[in-house]
Amino acid sequence: MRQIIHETNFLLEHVKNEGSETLEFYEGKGGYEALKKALKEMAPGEVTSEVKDSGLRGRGGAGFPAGVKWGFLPKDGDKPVYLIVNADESEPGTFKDRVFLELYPHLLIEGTAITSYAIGAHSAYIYIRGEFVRQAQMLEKAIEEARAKGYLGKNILGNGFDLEVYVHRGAGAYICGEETGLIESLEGKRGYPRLKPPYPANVGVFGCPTIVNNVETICNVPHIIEKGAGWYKGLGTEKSTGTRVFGVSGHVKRPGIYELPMGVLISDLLETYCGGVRSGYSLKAVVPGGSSVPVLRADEIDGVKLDFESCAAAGTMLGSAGVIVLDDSVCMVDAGLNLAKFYAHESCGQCTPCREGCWWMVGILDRLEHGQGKLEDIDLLADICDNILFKTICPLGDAAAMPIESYVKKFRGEFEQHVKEGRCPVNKDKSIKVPENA
Amino acid sequence: MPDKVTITIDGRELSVDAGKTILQAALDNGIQIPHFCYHPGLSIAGNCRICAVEIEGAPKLAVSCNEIVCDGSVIHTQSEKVLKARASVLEFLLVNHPLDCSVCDKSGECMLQNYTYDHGKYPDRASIDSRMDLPKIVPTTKELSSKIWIWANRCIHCSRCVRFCNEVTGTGELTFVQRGAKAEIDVHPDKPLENNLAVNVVDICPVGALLDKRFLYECRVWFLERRESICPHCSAGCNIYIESYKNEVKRQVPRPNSEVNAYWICDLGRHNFSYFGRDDRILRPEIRSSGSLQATSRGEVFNVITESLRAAGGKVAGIGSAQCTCEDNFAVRVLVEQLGGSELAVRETHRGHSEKFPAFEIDAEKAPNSIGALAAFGLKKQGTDDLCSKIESGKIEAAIALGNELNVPLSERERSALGKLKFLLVLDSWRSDLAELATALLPAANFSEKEGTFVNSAGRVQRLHQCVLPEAGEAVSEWIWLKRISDALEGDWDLAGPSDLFDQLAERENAFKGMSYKTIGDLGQSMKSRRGSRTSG
Repeated sequence: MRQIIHETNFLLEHVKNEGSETLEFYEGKGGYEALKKALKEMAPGEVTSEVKDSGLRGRGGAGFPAGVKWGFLPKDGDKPVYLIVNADESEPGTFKDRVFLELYPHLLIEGTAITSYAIGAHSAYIYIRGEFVRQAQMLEKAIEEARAKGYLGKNILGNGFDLEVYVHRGAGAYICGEETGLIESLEGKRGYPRLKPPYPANVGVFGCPTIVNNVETICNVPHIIEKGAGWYKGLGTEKSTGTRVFGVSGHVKRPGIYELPMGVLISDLLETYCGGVRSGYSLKAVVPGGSSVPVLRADEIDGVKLDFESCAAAGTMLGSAGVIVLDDSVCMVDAGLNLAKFYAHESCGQCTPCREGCWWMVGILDRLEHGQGKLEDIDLLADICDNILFKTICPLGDAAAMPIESYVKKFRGEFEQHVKEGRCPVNKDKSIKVPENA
Repeated sequence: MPDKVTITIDGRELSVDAGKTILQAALDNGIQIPHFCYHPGLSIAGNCRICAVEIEGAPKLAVSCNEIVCDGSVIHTQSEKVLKARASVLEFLLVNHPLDCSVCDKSGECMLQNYTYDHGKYPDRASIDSRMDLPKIVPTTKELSSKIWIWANRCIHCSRCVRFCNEVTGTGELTFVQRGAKAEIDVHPDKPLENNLAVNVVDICPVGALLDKRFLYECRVWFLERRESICPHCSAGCNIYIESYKNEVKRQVPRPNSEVNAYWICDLGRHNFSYFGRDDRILRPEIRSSGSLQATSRGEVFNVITESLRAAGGKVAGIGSAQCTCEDNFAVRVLVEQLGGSELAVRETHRGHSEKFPAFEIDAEKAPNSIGALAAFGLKKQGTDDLCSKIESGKIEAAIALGNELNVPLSERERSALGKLKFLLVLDSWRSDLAELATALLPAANFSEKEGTFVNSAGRVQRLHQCVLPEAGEAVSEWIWLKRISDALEGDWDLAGPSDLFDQLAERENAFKGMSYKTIGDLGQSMKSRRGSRTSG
């Protein structure tokens, strides 16, 4: 993991060092100082205010301001409050949370403790994706270490605050990354996203007020508490503060993890940091925020910055900052088919449009890719996307429809070529390997 | 009174209760919004997405089943956006639907069929040939229990049946297995869908996925004639529809009544019509001659009956039955009184097991009109001990007895006492141990063949209707026989139908005070002294 971390800022500053996952290392770098500060010098409300002031936005995908979310908890409720850390990182093209889980778990634990203190939670669950077996074990170990040192458990740091942190492993469903699907799964049920309202801040896990935050979001919290909201706001752009951990994959010379301030130009990320696309090939498209966001064609990325607003203005989303780079060896119909299969497989099956639509799209893309499609299929595909978009309980339907819709819109010629030629016209190169110098 | 809010649906300004959903408000006001997963007796799932409506100012369509009305909301159910979304949901469902309506039991009462007829007129983009190419995603048929089959490829995943088993029965047999388009309804291993309310899932299934084995391929639903009735299985008095074809009962289904059975009935009641097919139906008047019962003419039997009853000279008793209507029982009383008698008794009913579910209860008393039979006789409790004593001591020499009590055999004492009578007139539908003791036997209609009232265990007076004509033969309602006898005895009983009977009863018995046959209506009316409802919903 360490060798694919190329660019770091305050979050990942120390993770390139061997042993960064240990408590001893973490304490040596000033770890758990923020927790001490929060518990000893700040009231819970002050922690929330500081996070609110910092402008920290959710790193899971939607970018909702974290402090505002915490503020939605009912005031003076008589039910316990829960914190859930969403470590079900399963969006294709996204592998940033894994870095924290594997290499710097104590930052996550400290963030979890501070956040729990801020929202008044005495139980926190870290819901980790089922495939992260080793990471779950490492996290358990780190939690034990922290507990033994008094950073978790009863009367933390002698300050009277109690917190237990539990690691809960998922069973391998993408849908359990959706916060209410996650909550259902945590309760031991099928991972069916819930109908909203009510939102988890009012009725979450076990019927109690619950805050669900992404791993990276939580990892920002100790730094904000330690260095202040003012410092944090100095990073990134006005509305997208801080840094972002970009997971770059696909056809670049140096794929991997890049922690850069929000607002970095896509072209900068690709050319300056990642070394550009492989020689002999040219850039075809970029998916900036995980597989479920609309694609940007190579000619659209000029001047587009990687922050929430710029991406939205460019007709896409920053999402989970999993940047997928496609060069001209990729067939967009094939890429669409690959994605559609993923979403059809992962659709929970509750809502009609997503359940049936994803499956139908697979069939259409499959026949298009194999040269058996008709021209009408292309419009049909676009219309199916329109019929799924914003018509389901959770955003999985949108996640499935948005990219396909954009592929059809932006690469229509390629789709038509498949029909006219009766075959896939792209000379595909599927022999991608991580370059040796990475 | 709940607070009211004002909303506008399709240009109609409506004042509706705060806290209602848009769908409920629309349905209450006769505005039809299609819905699959919504069922008034179950929790909201919001998964079928067909009830989406447009609310002005909202960025997305809202599913009306989960959207609480807001004061001032302007809602459109027929806008272009809504119609497209609605048609698309139907299209999505049909892409993966076998379209085997021609052999589907649900055809004719299938919500998917009906909504597609109403809202789904669009070109077929999942053309037939491509549909035939689709791999079979889920197996076609599966047995969920001894009562229910599933056609899994017809399922539209509305989850009504799953919610029913979680919320109403609390037994949780059903679940989805697999994910996405491969998801299918199934039972857990070794736990078939055998609970006593299970077949309700067939009624609430919006398509032909869940089917009742008893009704499977029995009749196309559009041939069924449906009439309101009351289930006679226990004293709960569940409201039902009896559905028949060519005068044969084919199916009994629940009739919603929030005060009694909500939307459900139990399988014991639902499937009890099997005894209609028994081959021991009493079809003709019979008379005992040289020790055994022989069929005879009506004139002959009336001669014997009038002669014997006159001969008893007031030593006549009436024996009521909790299986018969209030009117039938009351008619026995009127006739006994006309003959100068006053001794009345109602046989004890069968007390079986009650079964409590989270949102339903099956009563222990396996008779539909226990309270009504007693009230019609002006009695407080069941039992024939006093009557038997009087027969044994010779104070009673003749009796008129109602039967139809299939659950309770005569006790030893009853058998011996009734055997001592000089004359026993029995009115019954099927051969029974009571009928075997009769001196004269008259063929009676059963509950599905007559008009009248039952009173359930909560004191609710409810009407049943003649759903089928009595089987070939001379069977009629007991009260009709009794009126004929009264006339033959030159009584002056002014009576045209069950409505007169009930009104005469209401005049005499306080329990029915203030009621009339008309005011009972289709949903029943509670006795003043016994207000209460069985279900809270």
